[in-house]
Formats: sequence, structure tokens, C-alpha cells
Amino acid sequence: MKSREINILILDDEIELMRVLCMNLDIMGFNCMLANNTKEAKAYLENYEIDLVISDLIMPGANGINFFQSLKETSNTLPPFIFYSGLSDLPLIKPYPEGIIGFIQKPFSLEDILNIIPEDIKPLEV
Amino acid sequence: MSAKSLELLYASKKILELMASNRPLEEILHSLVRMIEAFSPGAQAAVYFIVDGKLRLGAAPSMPEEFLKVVDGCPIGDNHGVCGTASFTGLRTISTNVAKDEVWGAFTDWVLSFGIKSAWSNPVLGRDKKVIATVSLYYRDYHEPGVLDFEMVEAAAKLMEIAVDRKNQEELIDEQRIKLVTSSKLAALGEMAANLAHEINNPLAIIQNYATYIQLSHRRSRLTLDEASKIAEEVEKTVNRISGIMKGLKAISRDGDNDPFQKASLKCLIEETLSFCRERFHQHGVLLQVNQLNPSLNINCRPIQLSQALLNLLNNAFDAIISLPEKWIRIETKEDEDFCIISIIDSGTGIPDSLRTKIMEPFYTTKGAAQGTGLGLSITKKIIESHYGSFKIDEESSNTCFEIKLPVKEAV
Repeated sequence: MKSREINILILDDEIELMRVLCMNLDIMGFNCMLANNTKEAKAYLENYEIDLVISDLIMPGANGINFFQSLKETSNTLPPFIFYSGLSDLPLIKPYPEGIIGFIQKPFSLEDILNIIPEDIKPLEV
Repeated sequence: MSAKSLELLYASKKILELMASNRPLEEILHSLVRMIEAFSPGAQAAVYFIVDGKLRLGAAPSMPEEFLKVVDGCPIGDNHGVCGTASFTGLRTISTNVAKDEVWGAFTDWVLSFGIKSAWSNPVLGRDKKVIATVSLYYRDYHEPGVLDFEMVEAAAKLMEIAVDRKNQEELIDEQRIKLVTSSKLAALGEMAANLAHEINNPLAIIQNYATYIQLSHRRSRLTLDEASKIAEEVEKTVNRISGIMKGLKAISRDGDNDPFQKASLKCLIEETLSFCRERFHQHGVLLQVNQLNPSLNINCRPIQLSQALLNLLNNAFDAIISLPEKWIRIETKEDEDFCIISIIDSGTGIPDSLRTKIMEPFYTTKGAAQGTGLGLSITKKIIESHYGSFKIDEESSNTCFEIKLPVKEAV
């Protein structure tokens, strides 16, 4: 449990989905930041204390895993990542690479996400 | 059995083996001609098909090109040379002296100019006893065929009959397989079933999360009517995304082959087609670009068929580039007074020369058996041709580019 607000960064090029996910996480007491592309996401990660990243797996011109890996090379204080994807043939890499705490398949519910988020970064309310 | 007969038997066996291993007809005919020449020293052999009352060259690797150019397409008939006559009468026709024999008619001097002094031709009868082909031998000296020659050419004729028969059967089977698959739309549906999950999962995720939000928000007594109404709008918009896909699916799964031609907006047609794959492209990181489409451009077409043709090309492009580092698919349209050109371009680097013809053939696929039916391109080609258009690979393009050219004016 953290004393300050818990910051979740959502990375997706589909704004609709990002927005409604943010609305839900907001109700649950999280503070969400939305990034439309990896460049924006990187800026958030550099300038804010982000506790968790929820990211689309594949976006036009970008691959979430590659992005994650490139961040990992330059930073050793990376927040945990959760990926979601609409691919029904999602490759379930297990065990996950260190730093990735879950893969979720679309469509997913808020509960699917909450189940993965570690207790120590959940607001009191949850 | 004479040594010659045994040799003939052995040579025939070789040719049958070629057929059994499904070698192309050209190769089989070529070997057949070489076999005839080996058994009849001094002869130059040729095999012709009879198509619509005309001679059509099968194989004649030793004959001069100038000679074949004239014979190929020559109508059969009495006194139209030994092959024309043999094909016409169904009887073996022998000319032991070209200069004297009537069988050459108006061709006498022309044939002599190639140094041919004697020749004979043996008809090949098909199943219905009609002449389907002929085997001809030309000599530069005065040759009178004997029993051994006849035995050999009879064998060759029999082999040719089998080869042609096999080829016809294969074409028939292919045709029926295509009919089966096209009419039931299995090919398109199969690909689409795979697409569909991708297309629908994203909007479903959005709807599901809105539902959750309403419940959460309501439980905390935070939901205002205004907000609820806004959400309802969003949900409706998202539902429309799905119903658009379903509408298109219903349309395309119907057999559109016998639909009447109708005016349709090319812009709508392309956009509807894209609704089947936009999401899947997106989810696999494939950038989709469509140039500005002229909203007033209407074409006379069977919309469902045309949409299917486009979808086949888009699916092919997708499969081809999915493992490349650079992934994009672009649709470009151009138009002038008479034609519109729709190009489907992908980030691949083109089709190798050796495959360009092959990929248009039915059942040829570079995809794995589980993925491709090998029908997409041949169906696409058939559809475009039935629209009085043309379909080709743009060889100038540095990327893979398939080009559909359709007449804009009403087809006559």
C-alpha cells in the first residue's frame, strides 16, 4: 500500500478503450495517465512515478514487448507491465519475462485486471 | 518380340512414368517427340492438337520456328498437308514425295522450301473417336514408313491420347473443385472466420468496460443521467461497429455470383470490405492506408463479388507481410474517363519472377496447407475478368502491388 496516489499508465492507440478503462480504474481509486503511443508513454515514465503500466500488445508501428524490452535496457526501476491483446492466438509466454506480470485477452473485464494488480499497489478502496 | 519393340516398350514406359509423376504436359510431349525421333532416324517429329478445327502446336523441338508459326493455327482439311489431312479424315496420311503428292495442295512449294521431301502423319483419336491430335514426321529424304514406323507411331499416338486425356480430366476436376469452393464461398468464409474474432474483440472490450463503469458508478451513486446518456451513445457507436461487420458478413456469405450488375460506390465498397479486416490489421500492427476516395465514383459491378476479390487480396497481403519488420498495406485508386485502377500494395518486396504465373493458378499456395486454399488469386482473377476488367501484378513497383483495372462505363 502506498501513501500517495497510485499512478497507472495506459498505453494504447485505441483511445476509446483507453478512456473507458481509465474511467473504471479511476472509480477504483487509481490515477490514470493515457499515452497514445510509445513516445508519449516514455515521457510519462520519465517524468512521473508510475506504479503500473497497462499496455496494448501490438499497435501500428510498435510492439508492446519490444517497447518494454527497450525500456528495460536503460532503466532498472521499471514499473510492472500488464499487456492485453485482441489476438485470439495470443502467445502465452510463461513464465513471463521479469517485469511483466500478466497477459490478458480482449474482451476483458475490470476484474481481470484487478486480479493481476499486486496488493501493494492497490488503493485502500479495492 | 523384336529388340526394337522391346526398346519401344521401354521408352513408352519412361513416358508413362513422366505422366504418373504429374510432369507438365509440355515436358511429356517434348519427351514423346524425342522418343519418336530416336526410333525413326532422319525424322523430325511434331505433335499437334486439334482445337476448333485448327492445328495447335503441341511440341516440335526440332522443327524450324518459321514452319511452326504457319502450321500453328492452320485449319484442318483435305489437302492441307499430311497433318491437316490426317486430322480432317481421321486416317493415316503418307506423302513419300512432297513435290508430287496432292496432299500438300497450295502448301507444296512452301513445304519444299524447308527442305522437306517426305512426311506422314498419324491421327490420335480421343474417347469419342474424334481426332484430338496428330503425330507427324518430316524427312529431308524420300522415306517410306514401314511396319516398325507404324508400330512406333501407334504407340506414340496412344501415349499422346493418355496424356491429353489426363490433362482434360485434371482441368475438369480443377474446374469442379473451383466451382464447389467458389459457390459455397468456403474460401472467403474460412479466411473470414479467422478474422472475425479479431474484428469483434476490440469493440466488445469497450462495451464490457462501459457496462462495468455503469455498475461501479451506480453503486457509488455517482452516475449522473447526463453521463449515462453519453455512455449509451458510446455503446451504441461501438455496437454499430460490430453490426457493420455482421451486416457485411451476411452479405458476403451469400452467393453473389449470379447477382445482376448494379451501380455501386467504389468508396463504400472499399470501406465495407475494410470493415472485415481493419481490426485484425490493427491488432497485428499492420498500418492500413487508403488514399482519398472519390465519393461520386460509381462502378457497374456485382458488389459482393468485387468485395470478395478485394478481401482476398487484402488477406494475401496480410499473410505475406505479417512476419516482416515493416508492416503496411496501402489501397490506392486512380481513375480516368474509361477506367478505374485499384492497387493493393504491401510492404513486401514483390513476387519473384518464378512465381508470378504460378500464383494465379488454382490450388497453388505459398502458405501452409492449413492457411491457404490456393484459390484466392484465381478466384479474384475470375471475378475481375467477369467484370470486364484486368488483374495483374505491377512489376514496376518496388513493393508487392496487385492491380485491378475496371471499366467505369457500363459494360456492353
